Amino acid sequence: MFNIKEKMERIVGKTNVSDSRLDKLSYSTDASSKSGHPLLIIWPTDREEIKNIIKTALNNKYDLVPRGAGTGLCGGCIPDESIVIDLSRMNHILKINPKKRTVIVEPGVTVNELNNALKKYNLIFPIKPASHKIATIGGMIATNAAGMHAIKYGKTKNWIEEIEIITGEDKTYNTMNIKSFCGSEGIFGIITQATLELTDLPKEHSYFHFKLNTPKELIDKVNEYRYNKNILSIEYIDRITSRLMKQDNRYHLIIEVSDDTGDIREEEEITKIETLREGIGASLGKEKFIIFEDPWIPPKYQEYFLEWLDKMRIPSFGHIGYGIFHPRFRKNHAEKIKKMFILVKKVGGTVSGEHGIGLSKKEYLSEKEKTKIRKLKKRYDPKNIFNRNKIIDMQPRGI
Amino acid sequence: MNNNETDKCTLCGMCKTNCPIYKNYLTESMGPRLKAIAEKKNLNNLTDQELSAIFINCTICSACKKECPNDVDLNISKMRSELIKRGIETDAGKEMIINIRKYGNPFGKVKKGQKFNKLYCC
Repeated sequence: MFNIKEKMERIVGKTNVSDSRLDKLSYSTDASSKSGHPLLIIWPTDREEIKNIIKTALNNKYDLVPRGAGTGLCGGCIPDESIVIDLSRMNHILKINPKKRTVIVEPGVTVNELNNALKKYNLIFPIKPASHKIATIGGMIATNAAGMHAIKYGKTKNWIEEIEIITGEDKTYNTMNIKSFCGSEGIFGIITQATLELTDLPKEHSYFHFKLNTPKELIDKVNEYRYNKNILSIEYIDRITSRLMKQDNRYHLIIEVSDDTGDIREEEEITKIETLREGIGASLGKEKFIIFEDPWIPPKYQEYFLEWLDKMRIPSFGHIGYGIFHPRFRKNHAEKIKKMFILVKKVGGTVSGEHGIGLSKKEYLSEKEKTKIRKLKKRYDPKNIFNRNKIIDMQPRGI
Repeated sequence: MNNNETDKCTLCGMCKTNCPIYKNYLTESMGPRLKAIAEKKNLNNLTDQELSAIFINCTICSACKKECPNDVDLNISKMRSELIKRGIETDAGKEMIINIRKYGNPFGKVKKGQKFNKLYCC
């Protein structure tokens, strides 16, 4: 009899399976502060291997955790005595169709790699999360990622034509049912391929940079620009963050437009404003504000929410044009986080605007949302082998 | 990495972006994030062989530092010096040190105009 490692080795080869201590340590965590225990790590290279891995896991009653770049902030790929499937080596761009403006990719392709390949066709896959340099398409579909250009382009789900997914019933779906699978955080199956829609690469871009004194002034300015067609992003930095960045005691509003109508047009000035935006993480990290959340707040309550954050001395920044805020916390701020989520719910917001639910935000999901997920889980992963206990709590193997 | 650096690191993984070793293997354990995990956790739990695998698999190019949004310096050179002090070294490194001591160069006994018998990669 072969043990599970040997069985998997027969599928993907000895060099593509590991249970070494170092590999287990590497795959025990992601960008959240959560950690767990992997049993094995497997690096498949094609769809057939994934099919056989799923079959073997089903037959031998093992849990599977699909993983992209491991940049998730909610513990969406934390293993729990599970087999981790690292999809990074399924990184081929299979077909670019410039006429139809579509591309077929494997799940391990990163957004940057894809956009570099699309440059010569003057096309772009426009979803740009902060981790776009390493974020994989599979991971972005699984979390329905948004990012800084969400106000113009929306979320990942808006740009998918078709998904190929192998589910826990050992079935392969080539589906346009994007709604069920995009944002499902790997709890139904493994995405093996996706057809993405593309758009024209913006020829020009420029910026506006406003410095404002109060949340009201900030929101008034946001409202002035929010519905303009040429807007690529509307980002803010609150006054606490501004102070920590050694700027001033004011709110900063950075608006990016897809033409040359912005006040900041020169390359040097554009670099300066982009450096300011990219420096937020380092400045907050130095002050040990290393946990960051992503609530979505309806426009009506955004001013109130900013005032509340300021009163609670919580530094924040975010994609305010789309309603996504990024308040940052220190490790010992669990109480503040809880209070914030209660407020988010009270004003009709959602606890996660773009990072997903994973392990860390399960308690804030409504009964209605949980029932809907359970129903889909029963259909696509009846034996509960995929990403157990993410989004909703499940009994081991079987609902 | 000193304590301050450890606290700044969120294990976000951006350090993998341009890491030449990670890019080649596409395996977390070959990339800089494991170095950060190892430095955050208690290094005493790791064997000499494991420490060597973590810190020797690195070109010391600092691409990880350049991409880090929190400006964390993993300071791999310092970690390596510590390891060497404890006698943890690659075979190639050991051989080169012997050659330098014995012949004054890392390639061993070489006559003028003669090609090197062996090239090393540490």
